[in-house]
Amino acid sequence: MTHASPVELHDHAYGFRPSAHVPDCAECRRHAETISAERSAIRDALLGGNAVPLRRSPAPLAGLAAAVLLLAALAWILFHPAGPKESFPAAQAPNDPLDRLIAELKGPSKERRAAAEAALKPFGEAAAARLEKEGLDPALARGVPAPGPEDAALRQKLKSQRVTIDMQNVSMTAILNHLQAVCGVRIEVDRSGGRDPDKEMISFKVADIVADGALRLMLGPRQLKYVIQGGIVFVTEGEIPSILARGRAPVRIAGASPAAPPLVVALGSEGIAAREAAESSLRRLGFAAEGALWDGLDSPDAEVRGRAGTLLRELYLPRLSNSVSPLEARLRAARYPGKGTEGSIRSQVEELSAVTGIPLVFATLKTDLSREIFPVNWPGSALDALSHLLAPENLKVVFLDRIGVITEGDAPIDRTRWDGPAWLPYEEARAVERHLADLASPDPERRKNGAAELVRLGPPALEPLLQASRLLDPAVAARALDTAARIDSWRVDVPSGSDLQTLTPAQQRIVDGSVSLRIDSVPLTDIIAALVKTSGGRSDIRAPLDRKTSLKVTDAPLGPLLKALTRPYGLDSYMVGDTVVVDTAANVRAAVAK
Amino acid sequence: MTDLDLIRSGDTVELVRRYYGPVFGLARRLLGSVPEARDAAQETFARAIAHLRDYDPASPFRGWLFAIAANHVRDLLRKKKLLPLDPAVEEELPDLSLPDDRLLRAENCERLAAAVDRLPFDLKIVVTLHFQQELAYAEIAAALAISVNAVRIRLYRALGALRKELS
Repeated sequence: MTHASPVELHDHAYGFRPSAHVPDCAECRRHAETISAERSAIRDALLGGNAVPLRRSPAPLAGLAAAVLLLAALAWILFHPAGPKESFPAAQAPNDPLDRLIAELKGPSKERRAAAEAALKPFGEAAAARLEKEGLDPALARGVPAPGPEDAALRQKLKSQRVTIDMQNVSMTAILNHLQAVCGVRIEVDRSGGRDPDKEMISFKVADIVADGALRLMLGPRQLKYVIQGGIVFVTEGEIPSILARGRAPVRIAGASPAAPPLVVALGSEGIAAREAAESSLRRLGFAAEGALWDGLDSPDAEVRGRAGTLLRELYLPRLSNSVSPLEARLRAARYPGKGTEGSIRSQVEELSAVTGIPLVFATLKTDLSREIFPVNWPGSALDALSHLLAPENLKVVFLDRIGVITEGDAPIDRTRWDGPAWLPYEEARAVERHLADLASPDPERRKNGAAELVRLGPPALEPLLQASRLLDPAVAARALDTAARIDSWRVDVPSGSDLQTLTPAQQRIVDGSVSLRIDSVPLTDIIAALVKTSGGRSDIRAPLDRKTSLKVTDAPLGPLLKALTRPYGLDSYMVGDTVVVDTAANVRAAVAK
Repeated sequence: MTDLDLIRSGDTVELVRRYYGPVFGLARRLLGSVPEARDAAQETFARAIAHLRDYDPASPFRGWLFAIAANHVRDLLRKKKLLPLDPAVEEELPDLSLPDDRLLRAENCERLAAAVDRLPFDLKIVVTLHFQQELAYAEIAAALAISVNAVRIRLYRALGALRKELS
């Protein structure tokens, strides 16, 4: 048998070039371990004689086992881009998140204590009470976390993005929705003082000024201001929005992930691509990586310590992602020349869609789309033009995959996607965690009660349920999706049945197929059949869809279009061979789970 | 706060507090004298703060800082004629032997530290940055303006020299 050369052994042990042979050969493995021990000895010798003690923990000699696990975990994650699915811990809710943070506060590590102090801030009064009970200073949990670099970037965006608003006698919500759409930011109104922006009617006109100025002009006279925290623009009366002062806690979905520790090790990889892949995977794992990240603060590798600290800080910073879909970006960049004549809401939106080449469809709406409205008769960004058309009607556009869906302004559909854990008021978060654990119980009664409690909690439980569907094993994921659909069946970014299937290339071509259709006042059943046929498939519609509607769409992908058309009725679709089956959401989940 | 946060907010005091120890440690290892190391560390920070605008946020700050420290120490040693002006850089991989336990014996710990001190400057700095300051190879390469392969070769040359000295 040919053994590894001394150079190969050293390259392997020093991380320059991992060897496929060394882990499988006992003799070479022994030599590699001796080299690793030499490294530790040199490190110890230099640190022992140095005036600067560097924090370190004993370097594991079994680095080879960690390397194998790392490669396996990274291969898994690359193959399953949604992230590793973990078995839910046997129907037990996670411990109180404050337990961990308080233990770290009392620990010997200065870095970990500092990380715990920063992490406590969002918990607010819930943490303060607990700190007092543990004999620690409750002030550690009071006060809002310091704004992060993302908040500074958001502030800069508001100071540079120019807006033009001319709205008469509309709700403050409508104007804020318009600003959200134009600026691509999330704006929340602090309603704790009894203020209802939906009912506060105002007239507001500004031309080509920065969004920051527009907000100040609108809010100032109403004794309001805006505060940026955690990537969200809060409209509030006081210095701190009440939701931040009251305190929140994360909703942790899964137990500790075994994929996390090698990913933390990989934060110290030589290659930038490997480091970034590890960071991205750890972000997707969320709190399932928490334990490994805390341990990463003790790594002998300074690179690992730094990056683990950053990821831990992000984990405990409640925020929403402000990512903008590519379609929205395209719409913002597209120019709309303006239209000289009045027309119905429907015709004006359809014309904008035709001019820009961006598919826009209407959801089921209460609004009368045939009503004539003033046109957007000046040239500018197509997104601006669309916002001007929709906001006065309290409508909004949600970008779903490759189409835009026009829906009611107060529909609980979000433009932004969560990248991190959901943050809720402390007690609510703990309740959601308990009931999510119930969904994994072997006891059907407990599962049923858990689901009922989550439905009772309503919209706050929605995002944790969607995250659970991405992180947990298929059976629990299906239950989570069912429960989410019961809270709000019109949650368009819930995966459809076909999204959860492993489709053949032929099936994928049908779902991804581009369709164009113009049809007026025809039952939805016939519309879906026509769309599927255009995409090269067959249809089997097992639930009644007799409602007549009109559709005009050009070059829209079939999959998202089916979601938009079926979801309002509590329906969904999946593939059987070349047939698109449309059925109730529950039946589709059951069929896909088999 | 990250290094970049501190730089953007102008909090150089915290930057110095964070990195004074490692920079002093590097200088101490390279110069062999505590007073000289203290002066070198102060000069390093003075230069870094004066040239913060030249720092490229795409690369880690500590690598940039150690590059300033390494260059300053090299200049000091050259002025004292303790370093040749243009040292010949051997770029060939040395003959490496299979390891034994010479470097592992506890009684050799002090001898090992002293042996590192006696290494040629170009080898000693790589050893110090890797083992003591725990920089990644790419960071060492950037700090010393050499390739990662050159870091590898110098590390192995240092290892060979240390094994030979402790035999």
